[in-house]
Amino acid sequence: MRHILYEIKKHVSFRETWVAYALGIGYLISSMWNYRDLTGNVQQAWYRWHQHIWLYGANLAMFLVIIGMSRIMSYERERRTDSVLLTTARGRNKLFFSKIGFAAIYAAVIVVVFGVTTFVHQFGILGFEGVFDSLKGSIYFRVDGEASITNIGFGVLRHCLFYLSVLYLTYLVMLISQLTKRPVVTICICGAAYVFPVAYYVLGFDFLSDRLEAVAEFISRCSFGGFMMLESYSWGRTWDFCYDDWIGNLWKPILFVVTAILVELTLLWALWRRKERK
Amino acid sequence: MTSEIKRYAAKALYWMILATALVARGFLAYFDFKEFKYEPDVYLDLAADYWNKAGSLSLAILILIVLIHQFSIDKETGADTVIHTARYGRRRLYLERLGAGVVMTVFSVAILGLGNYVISYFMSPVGVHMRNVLAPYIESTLITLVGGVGFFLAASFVCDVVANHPAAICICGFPYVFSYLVYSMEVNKNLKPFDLVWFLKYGTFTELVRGRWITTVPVFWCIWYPMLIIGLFALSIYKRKERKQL
Repeated sequence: MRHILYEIKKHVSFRETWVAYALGIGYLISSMWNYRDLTGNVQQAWYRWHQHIWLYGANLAMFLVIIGMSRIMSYERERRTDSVLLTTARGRNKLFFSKIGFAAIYAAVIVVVFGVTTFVHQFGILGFEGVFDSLKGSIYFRVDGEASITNIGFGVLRHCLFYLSVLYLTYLVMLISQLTKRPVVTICICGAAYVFPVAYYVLGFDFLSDRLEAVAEFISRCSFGGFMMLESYSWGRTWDFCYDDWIGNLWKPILFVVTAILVELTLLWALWRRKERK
Repeated sequence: MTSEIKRYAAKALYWMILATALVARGFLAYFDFKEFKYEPDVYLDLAADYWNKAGSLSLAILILIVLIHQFSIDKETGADTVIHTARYGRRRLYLERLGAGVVMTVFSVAILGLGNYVISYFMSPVGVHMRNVLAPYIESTLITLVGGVGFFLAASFVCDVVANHPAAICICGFPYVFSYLVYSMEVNKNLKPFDLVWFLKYGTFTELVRGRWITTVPVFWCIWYPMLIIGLFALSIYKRKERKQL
């Protein structure tokens, strides 16, 4: 735990982190104001809150993760402390696991702060009405009859899925950062990799031929962007799925994300253990 | 200044971004050609509208990722203490870097503008002549040139002040991109002059880099942009004096 605290200290010493926090808070406030529900209808408010990750949460998390994590793997090299730290008895392993632990905590903090802030903002004025009511509907699937999940339960489930997706991105940023050793190049690569699925889901690539569109859809679905917007957790065309199908098939995308995270960690470990050629 | 321009030209990232932007334009022109084969006017309008989306984004990426990096690279590499003790390592180097950056911005606009013209010309449907839209295209390119140079200067001053490249990218890139997003927002429909969103939409160089004059309260923007650049320059000078780098 002590080593994770050291990583937190490193993280807060980055100037760009504070700039990202300031801009992120500004973006969160403006988005909450822009997408607030003014109808006063509780069901409508829940329906809207269940979409806030897609509307702006994914963008915000992507921004904070890419900026905040882009330097974490190259910090020792920049400060020229790597040759000392990595030659100590257990320095290499401890440093690696403290970075992995810090990344998991950082992703969790982003998701929790985002979820709690938007929840309190949306339902504070409505007196948290309908929290334990059964879910009536969502943009992601059709509810046939009575859903066995409550509004808050569904919100928590969505945020757990969001956390998995943010973790998928976080370790990818660390992997690219380990490869490039340059924060700006990492930011560029990860930013571009996020823009593609977002452009696909928001704009649609109708101009592509059927085969190319299928390729674009496959890339978007498997990329972290698709999972962060929670689009890829619907294993098929989202609005055709009824509630039971969605829940029943949820293990497939979760298995995919967990596998992707494990692959990222394995690659990261292999790269970390690799001896540098001077 | 020649040595600074050579340093820019030696950056592989600069050429990679430029090539990627032109290849992306090639793809878009191909799809435009396929879709508007029998509507040449639409094809021409899209070709002339290059700076509105893809062109302005490519130029902003070039400026933020490559061109302003010179203003923080000494600190990143730890060479700043040596450079600032050299005879021409302070004021002269600073001004030369600014000059070289402006030259490279102009060069980038020229390459992107010319590249779009050539790609659109060769991909155009039969019987379509790019010269039909040449005048508006040149006009938008010149506006982009003015906006691009202004954006480069503002971003480089910010990078010099914060002495951190990723932080400068965030500070300048976030408001720049926000201006694109405003168009998809509900609030854009009822935008009034001097609202915060109105200010963010027009006051961050984006409209100019997109090749469009700002028609709402133009007098204000004629004052705002020079004041913004001069103010950031003054802040940069102040910070350099504080760090004893000037």
